[in-house]
Amino acid sequence: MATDKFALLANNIDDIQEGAPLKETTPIKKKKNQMIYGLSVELAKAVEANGESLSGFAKRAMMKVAKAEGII
Amino acid sequence: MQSKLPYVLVMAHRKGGTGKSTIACNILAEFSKKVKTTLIDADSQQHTFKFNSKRKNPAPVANIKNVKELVKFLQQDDGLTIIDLGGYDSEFARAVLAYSDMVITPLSDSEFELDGLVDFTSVLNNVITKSKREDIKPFILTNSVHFNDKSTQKAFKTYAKNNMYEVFDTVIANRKIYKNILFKGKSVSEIEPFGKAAKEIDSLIDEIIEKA
Repeated sequence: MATDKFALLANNIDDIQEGAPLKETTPIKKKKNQMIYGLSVELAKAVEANGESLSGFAKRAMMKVAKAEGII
Repeated sequence: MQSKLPYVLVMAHRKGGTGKSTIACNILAEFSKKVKTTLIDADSQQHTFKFNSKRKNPAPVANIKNVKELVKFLQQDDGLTIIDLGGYDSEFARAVLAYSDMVITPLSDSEFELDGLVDFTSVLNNVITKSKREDIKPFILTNSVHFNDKSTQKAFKTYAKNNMYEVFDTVIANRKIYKNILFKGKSVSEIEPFGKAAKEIDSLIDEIIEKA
């Protein structure tokens, strides 16, 4: 090897990449389970902690109350 | 070639369909019989990777996703690395060029490819200037022209004089056999050892070794 390219490029790779139309990106990890039965994870966990069911009538009734109370 | 290792050989052109992967497949097959050769297929179409996978004795493949991984791999490698760079300009592509030792740009007499070459030359020039790597060797390979065409290579040599390129003496003609290597996983030299295409690839390999 004529030159030590690793030493030469160690500090200026950002400069070399400047202006390239396609950027090197790190894929964003999607958050899973953001909603449970249409409720936010936070609210659903709070409901479950109180021993309530998350599905069906119970959920709809709860949503109604939550809306009326201005929680959601 | 052994004395010049480690060595990074990059197939590059801004435009797709210029023959980067076809040439990469053929030289990968031949070099891997001579020296330790690793493939990095950075082209999203992955044709060189697919070709290599079909081979009886495939060359090792480095699955590189970013510059950090590229640098880590190249720092440890002591053989020949052949990189098939896709037809795009990206941060990763520029970094690959900066770490290369030889850049081969296949080029036919198509105006579309010539237009792409002007853009590519500008990028490569920029990379060489900013990286201070004047030792990178950029080559034009006259590719996919009529077997009797002498004027195209002559024109490329004129262009090269005013730019940073050298032009390989080898000319790769437009032959059907080059189009039928992917699914076989065999180079043109393996399909027809005494054919004209095999002679072209042998000549190119000799020139790469000589000029590396």
